[in-house]
This record gives sequence, structure tokens and C-alpha cells, in this order.
Amino acid sequence: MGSISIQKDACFVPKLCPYVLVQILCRLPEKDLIQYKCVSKDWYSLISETCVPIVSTNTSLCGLYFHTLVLSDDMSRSHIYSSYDAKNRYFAELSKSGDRQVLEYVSLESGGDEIGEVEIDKHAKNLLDSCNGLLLFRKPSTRQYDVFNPTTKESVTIPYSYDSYCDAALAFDPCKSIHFKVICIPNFHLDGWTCFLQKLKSGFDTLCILIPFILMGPVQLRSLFTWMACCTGC
Amino acid sequence: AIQSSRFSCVGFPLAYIFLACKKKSMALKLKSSDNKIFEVEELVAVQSETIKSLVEDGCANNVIPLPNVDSKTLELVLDWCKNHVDVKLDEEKLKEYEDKFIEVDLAVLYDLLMAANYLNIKDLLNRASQKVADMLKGKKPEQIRETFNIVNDFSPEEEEEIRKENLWAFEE
Repeated sequence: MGSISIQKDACFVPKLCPYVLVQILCRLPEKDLIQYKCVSKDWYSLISETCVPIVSTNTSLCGLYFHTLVLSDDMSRSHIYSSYDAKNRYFAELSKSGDRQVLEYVSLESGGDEIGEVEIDKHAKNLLDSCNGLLLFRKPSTRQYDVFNPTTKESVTIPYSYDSYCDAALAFDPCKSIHFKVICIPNFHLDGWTCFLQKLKSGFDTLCILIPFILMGPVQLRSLFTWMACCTGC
Repeated sequence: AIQSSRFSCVGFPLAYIFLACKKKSMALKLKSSDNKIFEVEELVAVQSETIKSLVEDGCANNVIPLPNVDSKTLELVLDWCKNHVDVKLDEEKLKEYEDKFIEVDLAVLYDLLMAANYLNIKDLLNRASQKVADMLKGKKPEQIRETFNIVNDFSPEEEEEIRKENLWAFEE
């Protein structure tokens, strides 16, 4: 009798209709969900096409790391690299930045004791992005962005095509793709930043809507992605 | 003449509303797949969106056949509905009830999931899905296949490719 009930338990999930299975899978931790992509082809397509978009829209970023740099006009990489130390690195909690004027941040050097506020438009000029260990620099003199990996000391240069003042950020959503994306926020003043923060809060899916502002031609895009793939692979 | 015809126009919806109100207190008859008849209060039964739309369309006057739900499962489902009718029931008690309700073996859980999906009872479907998810949590893909008897239809190369693409998820 025991073995009969085990038999019934054993084929329990495959008999479930896809809708119910999605309901179950979407409640799993993200790591488990992605692992189960390799259970079978049915599960792969169900997870990639249905569960991941649902999970992505429901989880929002809780904060972002950023660093501030004071750049000279003829900035060389060594100069940029040397200024990337703990006192310029911050963590900002998005949920706490309800005030439109101010972004609350914690200096990583002070170990979280010192909570400061930065007026965004005042410091925006020096604020670029870092994401999963990759750094994004702006080089106004040569009108280029520089994506830099401090571990491997490799870099990729992306020219910017915008005439108006704008800023860029690195975006990475491991659920969607192993590739990083460089996104640009045109007219990088307070409104642009607030809007960007709201996009971040509402999750990566909406963030990807910003991709039309991407500052790369298809060829450069591919070379960046190939390089990124190498970086994340190791 | 114009006045009176206008009155007769509003007369019909008024009568309809009256009928609808009167129907609220009526009992519905549900028939399970094994032909057992369950008589339940409409208020209890309409927690199923499926039954609710039948009632709203006026198709609930006779016995409602539920060919996808057996009597054992229907009894459980109706018990769930009865306990969720009274919104004033305090949260702690309700949680206690739900926790106890969902402590069933996989076979029953499976029947409940299918019934909740067919009858479209959102909170029951959520609770039962969560229960199964808790059971899956932390298992390796191999264990999932083994436990649920799923055939791996990937070639070793294809599987390796997926693992490579999602390396972060497979790292300890």
C-alpha cells in the first residue's frame, strides 16, 4: 500500500498543468529556479519564457553601489584607477531615497557608520556606475565611455554619440542574460536621475526599456558582449 | 403614455435586482465527479470564481456538475471556503487553520491544486503552490527529476550549455 502512494507521488509534478506549475516555480528562490532550467526541455521553456519575466517584474533592486571620481581633463587610466578607493565608494539604498532632491548613501570606508546625503545634481558630474565589479568611466576629452574590469585590468571603449549631456550606467540581470548592458540616461539632471531611480525600483524589466538609449553600434555591441562573456565566464 | 413606458423600463431591472438579492440566501447544489451532491450556501460556493460566474450568468439554478473534482477533494475545498467566508475571523486563527489544512500528503495536495485551479480559488491555489514550492526548495535538478519522475530530454552537451550560461546559479 505504501509503495502505491509513493508511485502516485512520484509522477505528481509532470501531471500538473503549466499554469499551476508556474505558480509553484515562481515561489522558489531565484537560484533554485534557474537551476531547474536543466531539469527537462519543458521546464526550460516554462522557466525561461514565463517564470523569469514574472519573477523579474516582482523583484526590485534594493540599492546600488556607486563611486565618485574627480577627473582631470586629460585623465589617464592610472589616474582614474588610483582614485577608485574606499573613500569614494558608496552604497545607496533606493528604498530610502524617497526625497527627490537627495540620495542617501553610506560611505563604504566608514563601514556604514556615517550616513550622508548627496545632492545629486551637484555631484552628478563625477558619478558613474559600477556593477558586479565592473566599472564604467566617462572620458569627456575623447568622448568615450570606458568599461573597466579592475581584476583583469581589461577595458572596452564605447564612443558616445549623444551631443547633449548625458550619463550612463551598467545594467546586469543574471536571470535574463549573462551580458552586461550599458544604458544611457539623457539629460542627466535631477529629473533624469529621479526617473532612473524609479525605473530601478520597479525592477530590471522596466530598466531594459531604457535600452533604446544604448550608445553603441551593432559591431561594438557584439565585441563588448563577447568581452563581457569572457569576463563573467571566469 | 411616455411616462408610463419609462416606468416599465425601470421596472425590469428593479425586479431583477430583487431576485438577485433573494437568491443570495439560497443554497447551491454541486455534483462531484463521483456523482455525490453537495448542498452549500451560495456565499461559500462563490469563493470559487468559476462557480461565481455560473451564478452571475444564471446557470446555477439546477445542480452544478463539477466533473474534474472528486467528492473527497470537494469536501476539503468546501471546508476551506467555509472558513474563508467570514472575513471577520482573526488572522491568527485563519493562519492556524490554513497551516493545518495544508499538512496533507502529496497526492491530496495534487488534487487540491488541480481543484483550486479548476474552480479558480486564488487563495487556496496560492497556499497549495507555496506548500509544493517549500518542498522543492534547495533540491538539485537531479533530485527534482528523481523525485518527480521527470525524464531528462537534454543531451549532455545541451545540459552543459545551460549550466554554463547560468553559472552563478549552480555555484555553491
